[in-house]
Amino acid sequence: MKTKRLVLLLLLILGCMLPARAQRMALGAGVGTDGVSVELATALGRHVQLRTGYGIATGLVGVTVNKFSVPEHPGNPSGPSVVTPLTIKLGMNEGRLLFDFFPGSGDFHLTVGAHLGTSRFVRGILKGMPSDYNTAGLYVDGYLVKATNGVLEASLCAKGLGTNTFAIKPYAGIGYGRAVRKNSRVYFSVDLGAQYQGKPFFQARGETVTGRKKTVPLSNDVLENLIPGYSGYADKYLGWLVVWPTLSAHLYVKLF
Amino acid sequence: MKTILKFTVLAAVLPLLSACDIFPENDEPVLPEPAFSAYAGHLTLATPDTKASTTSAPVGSVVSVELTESGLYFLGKMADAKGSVQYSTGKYSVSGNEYKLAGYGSLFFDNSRAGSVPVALAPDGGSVEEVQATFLKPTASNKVYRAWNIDKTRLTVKGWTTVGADFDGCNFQEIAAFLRANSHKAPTDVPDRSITSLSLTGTEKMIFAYSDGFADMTEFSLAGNVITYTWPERPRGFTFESDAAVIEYADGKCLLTISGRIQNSSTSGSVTFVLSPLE
Repeated sequence: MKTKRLVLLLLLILGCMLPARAQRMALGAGVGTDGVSVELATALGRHVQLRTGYGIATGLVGVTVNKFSVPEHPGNPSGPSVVTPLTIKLGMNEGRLLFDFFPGSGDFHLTVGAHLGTSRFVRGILKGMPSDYNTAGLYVDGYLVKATNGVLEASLCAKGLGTNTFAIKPYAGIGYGRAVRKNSRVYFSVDLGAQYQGKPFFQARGETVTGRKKTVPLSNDVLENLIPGYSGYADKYLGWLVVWPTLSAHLYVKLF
Repeated sequence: MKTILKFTVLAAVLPLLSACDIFPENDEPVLPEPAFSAYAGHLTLATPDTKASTTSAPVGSVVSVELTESGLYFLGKMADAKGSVQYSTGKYSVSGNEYKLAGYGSLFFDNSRAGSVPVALAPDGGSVEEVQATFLKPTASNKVYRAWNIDKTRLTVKGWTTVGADFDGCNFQEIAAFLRANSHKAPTDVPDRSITSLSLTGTEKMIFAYSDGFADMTEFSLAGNVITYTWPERPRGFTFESDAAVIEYADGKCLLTISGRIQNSSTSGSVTFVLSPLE
């Protein structure tokens, strides 16, 4: 559903940009700490440039913790444990809307804007869960969070100024390069900035008794019961992720 | 300037894309009137010997017959001298004044009025007995008054955290095994049976029918969406100290939730049955 919305968003943006084709426009591809991306850029006069696009980091930069263990029965933490590999991957999947301001005639620019999309930030995937987890799991506000065919997934999410499921992350930064240049067909640009994403929190897919699925937040109380001392870890480490440093490089090709 | 305006408007409506929900939160199912509503009711039989209270009826005699709106019957026979009643169940059909009870035989009585009626019992292979009975007809209608299939059971237990589990249907041993595995007390003598149907009737009887052919019946009263019931003295399987259940409708299903504590245990929680019409 989220992907469909982002495709819709991209089409809307394209629709908005097409009437402005009298101006110059460039298509870019990039890579950075916000994933791989494609962008459309257009110049709004000599000192302002508008960029919009889509970036995805889902599945990129994964690590697997092989010695992670879970209770064999979800309601019995003091019982026997089973080793279950935990794979952690980036999960970002966002559209973006960025304004570049060029204070002089050079390529140095200041950028403000926002990244918009799924609040999922990091995915944690447990495979080969004990069979009890296909039947049972955490009960959160009417939703049961359980495994499907032995796979249980939870996400570290960050919503910025948005909602639990749709993040709006303000961005500010500096950069060098112009996406749209009058006399160059290809140009390179690099940006360094930060996204404000708020304090991350955990979410997982839950299911009502009638089968309706929804992503539900896992409260500190729930996680404290699962992971004794969780609140302390959360205060200490998740606070570091309130701002996400964003370093990216793009290669642009002038369309017209 | 026009382009900036377009982009600004676009940015403003973006969050709305995630706000719309295709499905309504709750939708009550539209259910047809049960096929046997006109024939439903509860017969309380006086035996030929006593002509009075069913509690003093001879062991093995028929003391009551519940005829549900959905075409199921529950025939109660005196099980022992203490007054315990054992129920058997099956489908029934009606032809004039004859109720054919599959697996038992026939009943003959005039179902056009409530109150005292003569009833002829004609069990398969047995002789016809004529007894006096009291026929109670449903006085109110409600879409919940019908036989329901239990599609799914959701159990929640409060322990170190709230854990839930979903089970297809409702098998007592499966649920007991789950409770024990998750360090909660559960009866050790749970019978190997599943609930095959739950009937809520217009005569305010709540009846659980089991896979082994037996059934448990209790009386209830309905106020709003809350059922208040009295559990029988000798229950089978799980029992709860709570005497209330809540009925809700969601996603075209009927949900019946019983909250409380398991007897002789500190475990609290709830059981939610996902119900669909048996017919």
